[in-house]
Amino acid sequence: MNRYSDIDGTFDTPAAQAAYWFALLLDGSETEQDRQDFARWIEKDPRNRRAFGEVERVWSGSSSLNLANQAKVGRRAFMAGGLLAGILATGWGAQRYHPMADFRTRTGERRTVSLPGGVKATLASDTTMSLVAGYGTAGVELHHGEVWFDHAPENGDFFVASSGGHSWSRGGKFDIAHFGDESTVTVESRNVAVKLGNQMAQVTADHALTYGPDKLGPVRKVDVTTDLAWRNGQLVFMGEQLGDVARILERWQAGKIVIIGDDVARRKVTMVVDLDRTRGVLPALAGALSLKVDQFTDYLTVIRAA
Amino acid sequence: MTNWDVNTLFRTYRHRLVQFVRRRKLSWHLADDIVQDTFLRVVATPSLPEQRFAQSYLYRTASNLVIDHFRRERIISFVSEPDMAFELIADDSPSPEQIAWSRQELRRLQDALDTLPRELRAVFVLARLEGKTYVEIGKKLGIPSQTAFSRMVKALTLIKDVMEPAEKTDPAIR
Repeated sequence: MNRYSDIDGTFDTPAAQAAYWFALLLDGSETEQDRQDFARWIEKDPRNRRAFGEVERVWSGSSSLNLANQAKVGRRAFMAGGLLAGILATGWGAQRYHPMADFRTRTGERRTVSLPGGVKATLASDTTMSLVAGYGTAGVELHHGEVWFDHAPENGDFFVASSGGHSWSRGGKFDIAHFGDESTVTVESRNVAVKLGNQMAQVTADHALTYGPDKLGPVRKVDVTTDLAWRNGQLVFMGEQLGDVARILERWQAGKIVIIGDDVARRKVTMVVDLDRTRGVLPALAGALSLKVDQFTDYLTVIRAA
Repeated sequence: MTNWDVNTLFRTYRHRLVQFVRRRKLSWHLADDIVQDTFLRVVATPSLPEQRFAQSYLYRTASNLVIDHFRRERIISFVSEPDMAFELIADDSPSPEQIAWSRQELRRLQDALDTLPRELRAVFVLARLEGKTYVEIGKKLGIPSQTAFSRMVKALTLIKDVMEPAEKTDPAIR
């Protein structure tokens, strides 16, 4: 056995230590002791985790590069004028899929399922949710995505866990959207109590509340029909910024939408999108807003000023 | 300048690549994501070979991404704290800074790799391109495997140093 871990070196910064650990684990010849030491190192300090993630990122970034020869290859931009300077390559969408989730929808899919306790749940595109039991009642954890719940009051309490908080219903219709580390609770009928740590708020019909990992936002009035139009196969945008519209469209179709220029992203858009035909939406917008929209395969749409 | 016809390549190779990736015992979801990532890399990578090498480029990139996936899973299995393990991989909402590669960044990475001292680069390339172990690299280069390992650590450290300063200067990315 080669004990690379015995090699002397000055690995005094998180960055140097991260490079050391990455190189050691890459080979696969590390010992059980090395693994435990690594686990201790990475659990000890968030800076270590960050540094390790950065090395990992460099490594995975290099997977598509031309390493075979050192000759410099053409440097001109892929498209005229360096347009794609800020293009994104999305990475590991699949990691979103909680392997143990009980319910999941694929991108573009909508599905209604029956949950224990007489709750009907409609999952929006790209959503993962698991059944959980706790507090002596039925509940679910929403890992990612958006779900509309129809909870018949005669069946007892029901809760939804997401973003570190809990939404409690004693019967009613409500929607919970969990994206990033924020959740938004939108109530259509009756009310929902949202608890986050020792903070609590009541959300009544036609109101919504957004909370993050440690803060409950204010309760605000919303147009439920517009906000929850996805249930009827539509997305409704009323004077919303193109950047926000793109983010929502991305939830419903495969691929990335890249907007070049902040002023373009701030353009106001009003439209109704048929969820079965999202693909044609952006090209159709092009004419109306004098934007240039390029679609490369199904996976990449680039929007910029015409 | 190589300017690939991505749409045609995508139509020609997508299905084959998914089949290829799935043979590594990956779920359909994951295989599809890896193939998606492969094509996005084509768009973002500044140093594409000529298009007649597109097929081998696509297969190699997909294959690297599969290997990276399994390596990540292996490393995560060492970490006992599940929350922490989760932090190591792209999470629910991978922010662009965490996982996305801009074309500029990939160019900087390519530059960093191209300017590595030759003996460090040789180790990096054998590990990355051919998945060789330090013992195999040592044999091939005629150096002790421990030296190969040390050079790898040094290579990774140098690349990271080069990449870091410009980290926050990317143009507006939406």
